[in-house]
Amino acid sequence: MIAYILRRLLLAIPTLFIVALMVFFLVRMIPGDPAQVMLGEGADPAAIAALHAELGLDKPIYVQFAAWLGHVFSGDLGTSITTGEPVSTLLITRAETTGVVVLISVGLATLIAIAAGTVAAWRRGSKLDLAVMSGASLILAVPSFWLGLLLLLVFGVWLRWLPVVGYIPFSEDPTGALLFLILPIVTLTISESGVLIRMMRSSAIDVLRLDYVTHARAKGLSERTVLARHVFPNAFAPTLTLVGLTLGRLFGGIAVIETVFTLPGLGRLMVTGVLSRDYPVVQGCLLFTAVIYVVVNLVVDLLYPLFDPRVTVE
Amino acid sequence: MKRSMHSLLGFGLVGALLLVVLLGFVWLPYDPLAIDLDHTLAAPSLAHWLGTDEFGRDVASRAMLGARISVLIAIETVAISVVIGTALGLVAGFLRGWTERVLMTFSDALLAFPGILLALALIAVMGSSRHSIVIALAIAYLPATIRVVRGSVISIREREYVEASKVAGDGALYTMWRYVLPNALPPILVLATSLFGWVVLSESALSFLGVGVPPPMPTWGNMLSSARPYMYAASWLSIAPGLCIVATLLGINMLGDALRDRLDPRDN
Repeated sequence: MIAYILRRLLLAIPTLFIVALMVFFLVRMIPGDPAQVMLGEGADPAAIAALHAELGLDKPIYVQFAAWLGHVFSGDLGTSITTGEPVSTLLITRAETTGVVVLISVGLATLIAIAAGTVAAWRRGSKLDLAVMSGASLILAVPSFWLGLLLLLVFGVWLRWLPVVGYIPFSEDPTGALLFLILPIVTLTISESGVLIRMMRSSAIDVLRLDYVTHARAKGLSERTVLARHVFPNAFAPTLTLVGLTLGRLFGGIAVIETVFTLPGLGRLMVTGVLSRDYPVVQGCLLFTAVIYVVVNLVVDLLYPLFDPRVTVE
Repeated sequence: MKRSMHSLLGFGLVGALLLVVLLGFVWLPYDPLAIDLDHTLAAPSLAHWLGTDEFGRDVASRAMLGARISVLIAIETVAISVVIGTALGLVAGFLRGWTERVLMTFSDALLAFPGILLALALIAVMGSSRHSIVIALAIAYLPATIRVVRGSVISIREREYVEASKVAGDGALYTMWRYVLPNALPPILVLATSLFGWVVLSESALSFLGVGVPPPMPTWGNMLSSARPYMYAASWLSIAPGLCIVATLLGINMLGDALRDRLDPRDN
């Protein structure tokens, strides 16, 4: 087991290194002087010269990369050109909103997927199965930002139950924040449940065919026990992988959802960074996202053997 | 029976989309870019079936032009991504060894950036234009293509006919082109269909974020983004472009499922 963990950790290192390489070269790919590009058209020549020295632009490129990597390791991701704040501070403050919405939504979506997927597989071919599968297919075709707009239209504009614009940080007032977060959470939960339901159903169908399920039924166990004790644990592993991938993908920012509901999250930070050509912010967001993605998937890979005992340590 | 209904609906929706795109080349109800400040935010009526937007432009005409732009962007993106991804996947899966290891390490590293964020970053570098969206999305979806192609090539290269071609003294390029590629086509075709749907979705998301196709050119995504401030005054602006995206994605997904059933007997 320890060897397995170590091997997975070692495998993540080259990936992370290339990720860092890509993020570093992204800004270097822009034609022209990086310092000029980063500071904008009408920048003060003195500031450009200072940034030149800071980035070490007169040194060979591998020295620049090593220096940059050193800064990253010490938590220094540079400063935002537009606000002057350290990028790492910006990332940490913005991560809260995204993190709360993503964790709650993916958690709810997973629960929905387990219930709906298992029941649909259990009653395969029935009207209930058809309804679940049609619902999941429909969800896959509805862009999350449009679903968000529709919910906002119904509950914010027409029914006036929930606020349309605004935000209170979760750490300051959890209940107040929930009022603003409820629609984003509902939107993301629905949007993400589509794929998860399909995955859970198809692996539950595979497990229901296996001999030990027939055996469990033959022993006279109730259907509920068969589903909960024998089908679910063995069918959940593929869905768990997908949950990991989903989490990794969403933590980097649910840019469209944050835009619909005007939430100050990581995705919004990245988009404003792109629009205002604030390259340190763009670099910081990318690096942060990719590292989280790799780490979340690593954790899921390490959890995998717990859920699926057939996956033995190679 | 249920299956065929499904694929029929898929064909119907995609056919309708293509028909709208083609019709748009010869006829549009109004000039989609013509500003008419006397008739801004008009509700749907006989004159303007889907109403007008904040500049008095006809929403139906804009949605039709938007369909053309979305479809063309998706076709270009899928073509680039599939051609390059197939070439790289073929080489990685066929040659294996170091070539494969290097290619897959880079491909996996690209996979660590969620598609839309990678596209965003590339657009930040290239500036937002129609071309940069195509290039950014093609690169963002490249790793998926490489993975799928490599996966099927790895199993194809172990077949007897590939072995026979090698024994006959054929060069690696010839064997790949003549024997491996044709047998790897079915999964590539299924992937290209799904990719088309993903690209339509991602492009609309990028345009919604304001980094996609620049205005005044309409896309379904940027129509929705400019509708956001007028939710109270003109809620219909938020409905039609969304329905267009949903209909397109439903059609493509159903078509993709039907294609998978036909070409991939393992699932049945």
